[in-house]
Amino acid sequence: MRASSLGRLVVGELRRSRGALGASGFGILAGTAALVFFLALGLQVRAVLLGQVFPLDRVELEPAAKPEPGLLTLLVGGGRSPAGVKQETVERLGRMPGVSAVFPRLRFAFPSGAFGGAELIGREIGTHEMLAEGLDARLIAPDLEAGLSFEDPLRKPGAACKEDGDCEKEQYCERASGAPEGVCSAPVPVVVSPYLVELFNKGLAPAHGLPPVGKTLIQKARGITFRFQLGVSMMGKARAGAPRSAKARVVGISPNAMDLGATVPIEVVRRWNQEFHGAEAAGSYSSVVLRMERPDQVATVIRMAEAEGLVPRDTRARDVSVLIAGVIGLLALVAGVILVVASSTIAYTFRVLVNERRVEIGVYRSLGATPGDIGAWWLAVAVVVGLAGGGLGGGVARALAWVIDLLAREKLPDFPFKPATFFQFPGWLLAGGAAAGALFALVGAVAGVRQAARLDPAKALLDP
Amino acid sequence: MNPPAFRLQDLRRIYQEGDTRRAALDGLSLDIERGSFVAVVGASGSGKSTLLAVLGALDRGYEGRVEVLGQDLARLDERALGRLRNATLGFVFQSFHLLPHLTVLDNVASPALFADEPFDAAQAALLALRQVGLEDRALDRPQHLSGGQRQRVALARALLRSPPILLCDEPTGNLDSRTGAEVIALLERLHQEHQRTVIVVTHEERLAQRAQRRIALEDGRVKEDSGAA
Repeated sequence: MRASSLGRLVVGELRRSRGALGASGFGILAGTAALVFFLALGLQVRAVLLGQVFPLDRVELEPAAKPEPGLLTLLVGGGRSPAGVKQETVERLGRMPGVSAVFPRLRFAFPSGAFGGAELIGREIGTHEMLAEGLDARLIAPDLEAGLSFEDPLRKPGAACKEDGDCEKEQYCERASGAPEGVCSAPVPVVVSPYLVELFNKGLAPAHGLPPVGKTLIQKARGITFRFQLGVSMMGKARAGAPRSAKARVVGISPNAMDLGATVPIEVVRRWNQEFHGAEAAGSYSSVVLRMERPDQVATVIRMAEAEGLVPRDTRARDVSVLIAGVIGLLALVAGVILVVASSTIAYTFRVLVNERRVEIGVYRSLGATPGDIGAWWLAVAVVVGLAGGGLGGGVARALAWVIDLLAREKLPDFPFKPATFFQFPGWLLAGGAAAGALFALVGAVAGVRQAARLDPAKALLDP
Repeated sequence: MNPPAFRLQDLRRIYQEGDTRRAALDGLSLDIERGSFVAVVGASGSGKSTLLAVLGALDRGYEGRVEVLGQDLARLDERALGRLRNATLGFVFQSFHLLPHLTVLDNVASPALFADEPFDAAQAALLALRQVGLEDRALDRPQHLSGGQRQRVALARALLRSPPILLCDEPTGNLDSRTGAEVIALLERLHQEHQRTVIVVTHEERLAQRAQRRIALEDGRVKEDSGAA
């Protein structure tokens, strides 16, 4: 059958059955409107959460499905490579659209401890197990007080030395295991997280009768010093190198520092990882922090980074996103139920219409129509009803969203991250809504279409 | 030598009704020559309408062999069968089967919907209506016509593609005697003017007597055939 003929048959059927098909199409409209509305809401809420509420303008990514090396792994198994992000990946991430800067992180790949604090709290305290990592100085610098630096001290190495006594006051002799001599170095700068300070103040300090260490106290101390015990901890020794110590100084508190542990310049960790764990531990990174040009680019960059095998390390946003997706999924399910009901209405309508058109179908068969022509006629009617219902449903969803945005602007008080709109209507969503409408209409109509195509014209015409 | 309009060889049409098999057509073998006017008569249930459905390529559930103008129907796919019904066969039904939502003109033009090539269907429809004397009712709805007029419109629809074969199922069955006579005269004219093959299934003896050949069916078999060799 020619397309023009099909068009005439479809238009004719739509005109004649506009009441019945309109009622069926209304169900599709309602279902699609609900589906598009909820998905648009979910898209925007997710974008706001991922782009604004949680990561602000940055996101930390780490290799997917690689467990972090725990203490036991580090000590019993000698530790495994702490990093999975290669330098070339870091460079590719840096070239992604929307990424303004990339800051790699590198964890200690060897056991360590830390002892000190006498200057601040009057007596030596410490831990035989210390977690630490290296971070780019550019990420920490904005959090430091003026005059304090987070740079690798060996950028300005001192005189050659064999032991700390060979160096100036406050310096120590940075001498790798087995090296005939080292260089005098300023203490390694360390930052800690506000979370760790809070944990010490609220948990450890009261338990041990120690005074709390507030930010002001650290600032007053102008850099409390302690010693890193490198290559050995309570649970064992490093796979390479001989245990030794290094002098460190706390230079500040930064939200970018690791939550439970010490954060030092990344060049220092690279050096120490090589000394105590080998070259592989120094050749890649544990994770990378990406800074975006705009907060709303975070979600897009996360999607692109997934292709590199990286996922967000801070899963709060992802968890909330999953929660939102779950809720939206449930609401979409409700919309799906509406569509299924609409689909069953269409099934009933098509069966009734096909029964009413038995003779007409028979006449068309006698005039040359094939079963395929008859099927195409009714399928096309279903597609038109579905597309119209789905398309209008998308329009209704947009209209409803506009009303809600208007009410939100006028009635809702301002709150952090209050978006200009609560909905996102990308073109694919509207097109997908119309397609969903057509799909459900087709599914509903399929039994009627088969009935029409298989109708026995002889019975319809000669044996009415 | 041209093949006959129809050639039937051991034609059977069996209907399964529960556990029983009923033969609506039971071993028919006959030829119907081109250009002949044939009346098929018989009591209700004798197999007349079933025969017409098979001849018209509307019923494919038969056994045996059926040829239309030399083409074995069993070898034709649905598209070819559709083409055959569209261009070679014209149907006229007892109940007219005009589509009430269409005008007379659109009803007559409706075979054009299924034609392979587009053509000026409105012009052809007007021409067909002129042949049956209803050109002036082209824009009316069928329900506003009398029974005789409706049957003439149905005839015009059957004639739209100028098919060489007309198949008529009780064409006067729903008409009074005067309009029935008009329709019979029209069928005769269509047969004579264009040497069409006309096959009429009928109860009406008056119509059967006007045919060149009379085939009487009983229980799906040929009881009497005036044209038998």
